[in-house]
This record gives sequence, C-alpha cells and structure tokens, in this order.
Amino acid sequence: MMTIASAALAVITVLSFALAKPKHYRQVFGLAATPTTRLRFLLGGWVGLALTLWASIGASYDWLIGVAFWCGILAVAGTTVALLLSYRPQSLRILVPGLASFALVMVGAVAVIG
Amino acid sequence: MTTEPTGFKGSLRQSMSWLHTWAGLLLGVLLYFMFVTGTAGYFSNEITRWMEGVPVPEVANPETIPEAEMISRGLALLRENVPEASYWGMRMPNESHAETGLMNVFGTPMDENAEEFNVLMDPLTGEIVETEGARETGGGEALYIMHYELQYMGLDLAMYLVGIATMFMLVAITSGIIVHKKFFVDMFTFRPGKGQRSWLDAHNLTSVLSLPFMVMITYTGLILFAYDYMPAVVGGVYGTGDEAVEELYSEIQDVNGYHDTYATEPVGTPAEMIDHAPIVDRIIAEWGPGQIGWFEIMNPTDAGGEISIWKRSSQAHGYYDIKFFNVATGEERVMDWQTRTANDVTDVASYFHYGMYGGAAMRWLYFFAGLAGTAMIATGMILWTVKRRQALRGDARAHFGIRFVERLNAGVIVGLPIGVAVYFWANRLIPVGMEGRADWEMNALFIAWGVMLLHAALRPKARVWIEQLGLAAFLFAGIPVLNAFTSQIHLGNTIPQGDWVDAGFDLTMIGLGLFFLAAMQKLRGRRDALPLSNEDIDAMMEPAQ
Repeated sequence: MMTIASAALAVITVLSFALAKPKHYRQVFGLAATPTTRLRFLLGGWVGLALTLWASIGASYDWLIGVAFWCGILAVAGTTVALLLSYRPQSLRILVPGLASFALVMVGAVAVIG
Repeated sequence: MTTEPTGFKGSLRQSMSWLHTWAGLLLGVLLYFMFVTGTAGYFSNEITRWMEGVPVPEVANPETIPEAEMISRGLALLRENVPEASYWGMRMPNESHAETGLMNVFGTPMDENAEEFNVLMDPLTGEIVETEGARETGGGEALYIMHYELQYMGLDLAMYLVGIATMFMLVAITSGIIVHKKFFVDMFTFRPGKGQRSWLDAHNLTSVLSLPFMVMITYTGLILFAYDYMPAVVGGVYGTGDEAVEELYSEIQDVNGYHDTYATEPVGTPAEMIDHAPIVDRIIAEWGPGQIGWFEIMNPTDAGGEISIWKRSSQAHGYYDIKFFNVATGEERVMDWQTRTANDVTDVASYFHYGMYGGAAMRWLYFFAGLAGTAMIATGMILWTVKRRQALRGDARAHFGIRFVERLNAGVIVGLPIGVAVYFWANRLIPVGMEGRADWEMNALFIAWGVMLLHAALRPKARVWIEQLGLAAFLFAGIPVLNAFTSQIHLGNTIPQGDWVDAGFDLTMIGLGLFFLAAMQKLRGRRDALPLSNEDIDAMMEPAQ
C-alpha cells in the first residue's frame, strides 16, 4: 500500500517540478505558464518530495532504507515522466489531475488505515 | 574544427570536460561490462533457478507458517539424516535473495570424510524437495561474480582492473556533474531524433536520475576491496604475506564478528538439545514475526554447543543482530560487542552494494538503476563518436581512432547483451550430462561476443547496428520459446501456477527482445538526424547567461 502510494507521489512530485519549467508547461498545456502557476508547481514539487519521502519510509523497514527507496522510486518516476514528456506530452493533461487525486486518496487511505 | 581544450587547461569546466571524456572513453567498455553483469546479479538467484530449469513446487506462503514449526521440521530432517553432526543450519524461506518459499537445510557430519547434507525443504510438510534433473549451470551467480572477477584471468589482475575502472567511474561521475551541470536545468528533457543533442539528453537524463545509485554503487564497490587496493596501509601495520593478511582479517572481523564468538570447540559432554520453541518466541517478541534469516547450531549434541539465530540480512546491521543460546540450557550468551567502526562501515557498505536491504521492490529499483547506469555508460560511449563525427566537415574521412571506437561501441553495446542471451541459449541447448557444462555456457557467451566484435569490425558501418540489434531482439525474444521446448517452466505452466520467479524471467526476456526490436526499427526508419554545429553544442553545455 505504502509502496504504491510512494510510487504515485513520486510521479506527482517529478511532474510538478517538470511543469514548473515554462518549456514543459507549454508542451503539456500549450500555453505559457504565469509566474504564479510556476510557483505553485514548484511548491507542489517540494511538498511532494517530502510526502514521497514519508511514504517511502513507511514502505520500508527503517528510515535509512526508506531514503534509499526514495532515491530509487524518484528515478523510476523521473524516467517515466521524461519519456511521457518526449513522446506523449498531451497525455499528461489527463494524468496530472488523475494521478494527483489518486495520490491524495492513497495518502488519505494510509492516514486512516495506518 | 573544434576548439576542444586538451589537458588541464582553460577553465575548471573545460579541464573537467577533458577528464570526463577521456576517463570515460578509456574505461567505458570495462565499466559497461561490469554494469551489465552486475545488474543481472541483483536477480542472480532467480536467474539460477530459471537456468536449472526444474519446476519448483508450489509452497505455502512462509508467512503463514509459524517459525518454530518450520524449525522443528528442519530439525527432524537433520536428526534423521545427520544425527552425528558438528553443525546444523537452516536458511529460512524469508531470507533475502532466496524468496522461493523453501527452506535450505544443511548439516556437517562429525566424520569429516562424510558428505555434507544440503537439501531444500518444504517448510509446511517438512519434506525434501527433489531437485533432480536440475541442469548443472553457472547460473546468475556466474554472471554476478564476473562483474568483479571478470573471466579467464587471475582474481588479482581482475581485482585491480576493476578497481581502476571503478576509480575512473568515480572521477567520471564527479567531473560529469561539473561538465553537465546544466542537466539540472534541463532535467526532464529528452529530445528524440536530433542526433547528438538526443544522445546528450539521454546521457544527462540517465545520469542525473540514477546519480544517487551511481555514487553509492561506485563508492561501496571500492570499499569492498579497500584492503586490497591499499596494501601499503595493511603492510605498514601487519607486515606482508598471507599470514599478515589473515591477522588483519581476524582482527577486524572476528572479534566483532561471530567467528571467534562461536563456541566452536565441543566440551565433550553429550547433551540433549533443549526445546527451541521458547527461544524462538522470545526472538519473535523482540524482532517481530518473520525476521529470522538463519537458525544455526554448532555442535548440536554437545553441552558446549550453541544455537545462533540471525536476523534477516535485509534488515540486519552487521553482526550485531545475532543471538546466541546454549544448546543444553538455552541460556543466552550476551555478546560484549566491541565497537569496530571500520568493520561496521564495511558491513553496511557491502550490504548496500549487494542490495540486501529492503525486499523485492527494492531489488527492482536497484535493477532499474543498474539499467540506467548501463544506459548512461552506453550513451556516453556513443556520444564520444557522434560528437566527433559531427565536428567533421562534409565527407572528410574520420580519423582511425573515431572509426575504431564506432565499431568497438557497436560490438560492445549490443554485442555483450547478445553474448548474455547466448549464455541462456547455451544453458538450454548444451546436453544435460555434458562434462564441464557450466564452463561451456560461459565460453559460449564469450565466443558469441567475440563473433559480434568481429562482425562489427567487418560489416559495412550502416549495417552493423541494425544487424546486431536484430539478432539481439531475436535471441532475447526467442528465449521463452526455446524454454517452452526444453523445460517444464515455460510461460504456459508458470503463469497459471503463479510461479512469478520463472515467469518473470521469461517476461523480462521478452521485454528486452522488444526493446532491441524497437531500437532496430528506429535505426532502420531513421531519416538523417539534424546536424548540430559546435556552437549549438557549446550553447547547450554552457550555463544560461
């Protein structure tokens, strides 16, 4: 459960950082990002980074292993996002809100169930 | 022509660029070899199981079986088969890198000439699992060992070669961060179909994403052989020669480790082993269920004998997580662990290198990072030639060095994976009873690789990559088909039975085959990549002004 949550969060995190860059934002949404939007994505990225770390530690036996897991899962997420941005940037339009809500549900579920 | 600086001249970035380029070029082939074989090593047990080619019976999830009961069944087997033993041991089904759901049961008879007892046991029924018909094979272990022992040369020479390559890797990583520092800006950018720019993107992307893994794996790899790489330090303190080395190891490992602390000498009074269940209960209370990796007994029938219980290595920190109990009384011997920082560091570093921490999900992440590292080296090697090609004006004939590296690259980057595929083919095609079967599997790998290097040297340049990629696609995708004709563990059986270890192997092979096929199609359909001027390249490498 935590493993899946951490994977979803990792993709969201990497995506946020990518969309904070004007070039990638334009690729996905076809229009220029306002400075506020960019700041939001950047902020979202940092929050996501922390949340992914939290989920990675939760998915691991102890926090040190969690940190290693965090590095690994972010790398997988980064590759996925980079490939999507190169070949299917439009698909991210759907993926962004979809994944974000999925990650939210997962985090909520983990918080409730424990 | 390019204004590339040579040597440590110009700015820091220019000299680092020089260093990065040449360190990478010189050791790229060896590093690529180490990464391909080492990455496969994270699944060495799974690969071995597939190569042995015998169906592993369906067993219950070990988590559903109480540990004390599993141990009872193991003990019953040992009492029956090796009653007079100096050692009994059980590797629990939960131990990392052995996730087959089976228990390994070992016994060393008192009589030194008698054969060792070593079987696989079903932890639920306590019955021996027959492995008859298993192919003699080097398995995944042989691939894994090859990444530091290389092949056909002495261990010493291999160790130093690997050490030099690893050191260069560390240099390449550090200088690479300085050279490609812009990659953090372009972090998620991959622009396909643009020649050199695409290769640079791919090189940057794979390196930045796997950077933590790269630094970790390179550094811990060096630490593993630190005593051998810095013999003068050892020599200065302990002197030279085998005895001195032995003394070093006994001092750094034995006191802190278990060798000296084992009560290995029997006292001579026969004794009955006490019931292990209360001890196991105590361990479970402290560690939680499912955490025992090994259950061992030295001198099980002697009053001085000792039970030692090891925590799963995926979650242990060095040797501290072992508990010792007297065989006859069950009294715990509390260790006075002396802190030996150097040894602790080595332990943790090596466990980290092997991917022992964490479970199967973590190993997939290691595998992925290893693939990214392999891709990083491969793209770096290609980049070297592409950059020099594009710097040439018009039809100017490339320098011999460039043509040589171009062909070498093809023969290595695709040729080596072809060799690995042939290794698996050889495993299924060499007759089961043949003498030196395991050796011939390995020879087949190197023969195939040699042929591919020759092929790369002799065929027209435009055809080399396409032909080799096509062959690689055929060989990898063909493995599951070949497997279906030569064993019972083909996808038609493994998927319905839920044997995901063997199915996973076949599916991974199909994935690799598709990858090589896609690469071949890409090359065949390629229109000329956009040429890039050196100014463009410099602009990409320079930080934004």
